Amino acid sequence: MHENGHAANVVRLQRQPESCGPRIWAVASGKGGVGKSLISSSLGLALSRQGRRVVLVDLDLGGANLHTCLGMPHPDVTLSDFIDSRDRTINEFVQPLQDLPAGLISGAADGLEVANLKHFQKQKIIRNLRHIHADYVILDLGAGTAFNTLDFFIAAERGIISVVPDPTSIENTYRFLKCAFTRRLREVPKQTRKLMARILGMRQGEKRRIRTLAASLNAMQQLHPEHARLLQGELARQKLHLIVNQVLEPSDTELGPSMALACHKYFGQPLEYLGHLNHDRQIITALRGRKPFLTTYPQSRAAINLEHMAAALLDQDSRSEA
Amino acid sequence: MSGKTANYYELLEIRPDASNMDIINAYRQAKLTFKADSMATYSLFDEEELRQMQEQIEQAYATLSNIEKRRVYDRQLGLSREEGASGRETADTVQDNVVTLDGGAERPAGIRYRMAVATVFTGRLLREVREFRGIELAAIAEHTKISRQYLQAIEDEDEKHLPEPAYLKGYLKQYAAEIGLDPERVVGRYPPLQRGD
Ligand SMILES: Nc1ncnc2c1ncn2[C@@H]1O[C@H](COP(=O)(O)OP(=O)(O)OP(=O)(O)O)[C@@H](O)[C@H]1O
Ligand SMILES: [Mg+2]
Repeated sequence: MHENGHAANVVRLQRQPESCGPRIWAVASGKGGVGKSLISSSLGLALSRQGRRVVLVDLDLGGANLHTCLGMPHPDVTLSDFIDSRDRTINEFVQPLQDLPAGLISGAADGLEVANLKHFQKQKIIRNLRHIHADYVILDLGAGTAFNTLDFFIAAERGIISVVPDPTSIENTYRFLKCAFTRRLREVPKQTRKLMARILGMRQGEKRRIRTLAASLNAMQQLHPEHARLLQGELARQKLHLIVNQVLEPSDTELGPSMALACHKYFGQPLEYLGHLNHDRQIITALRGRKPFLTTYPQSRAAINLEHMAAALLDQDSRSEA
Repeated sequence: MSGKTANYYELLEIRPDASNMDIINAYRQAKLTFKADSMATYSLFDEEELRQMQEQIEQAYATLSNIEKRRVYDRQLGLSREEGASGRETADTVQDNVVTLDGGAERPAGIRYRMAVATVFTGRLLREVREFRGIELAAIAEHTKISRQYLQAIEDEDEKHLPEPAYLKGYLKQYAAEIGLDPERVVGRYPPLQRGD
């Protein structure tokens, strides 16, 4: 079907007119175990409860457990089968969820590891995401900054990042963002990249070098405005969002707005704070009962917050369509 | 800087027609975010960068929170009268006639007026201003790193628990800035500081 591309670069999904494919959101984090699978499964369920057709794709290859978060049995078809298949479309690998217009493409297969994924296999996956029959495709990514993970991330039109209020998670979040932005800069023309590299080595004031993306974009704007426009255009293709998970103290709720502000100052790009989720034992209870949290405890604070987050993003999408 | 430096509005991420409350909120948010041991900037900015950022934030606030200074600054930026400071009030100078516009019924009557004309800033008035602005004492303690006991003592004018005058002046200034009052005005009109000398 769509197997004829030899593109060396990552396929640019959002360059396609919106009407011809699903909207793609990726859920990522710098550190593991901070709630990506909880968030992607819950956002997916919330969207489908709003009547949107949703397909969740478990791209945490090597650690895939999204089916468990959704209360589904261990899948018998996976992405691995799709990668190996020659003549079946990606839609044949979607496992439907009961009662809701939602499905899962699982990544839970022995031997399917993000580190071992070959370039053409990754390309095949990314290229086919937009052929999935759905309104929304939600990617649950593995933790960390593996190139394949970053490429899945930057293929999405929204990147949703989960962080927990502790310094290791925050540190890894910023590392993840730096890596994702750096990866994204490979998408601009070579000349622009070269100029950018030169600016990053320049002095700023008396002794300090230009260190932040914000400062280098600013310098680029002064020196080479037409290249600055190209860069900004590339960076603006993806909207970034932040969720603070596992909040224990009231003061932890200050973290989200502060991280958003710090990121804006550092990267010169908006990172929108979507809200926080309390640490909630019912999340673990649902998991132990092999039930999806959102639909099992819909009255819990965390479930309500997740519904709000999904609604806010839907609202942004409908505004951008208008 | 090789690029153009951000103006005070850009620095605080507010619009040039921001209200005084917008300015206070943005200032508090920025101050909290870029304080020395902030978790939110961990591994992103180093100490020196945080120090510079704090300095810029204080400068921006000192100008934008003062009606005259803001007007002059707006003129320098080339903002027109409509977008600029005309018709706005700073945090602590509000004409009597706008009091009714956004002072809700449940708010203490005339607090804006009283804070604008106060010749004495009693602890009680300070607490009223703080509550009027919806700011928790705990939040001020967190931002300024001044202990809650001292802040409480300031509002109670509890001289047994207030620090030495030299410290008290510093604390009081920070506290005043947090609740959107002119620090110098408050220090000059706070009873426990007048009694001492
Ligand atoms: N807000 C919360 N309150 C209580 N437990 C939570 C919360 N969020 C996540 N958990 C629990 O933390 C664990 C990790 O969550 P989850 O699997 O969603 O994280 P992850 O980022 O997908 O992890 P990994 O990096 O391993 O894929 C799970 O046991 C989950 O139930
Ligand atoms: Mg996971």
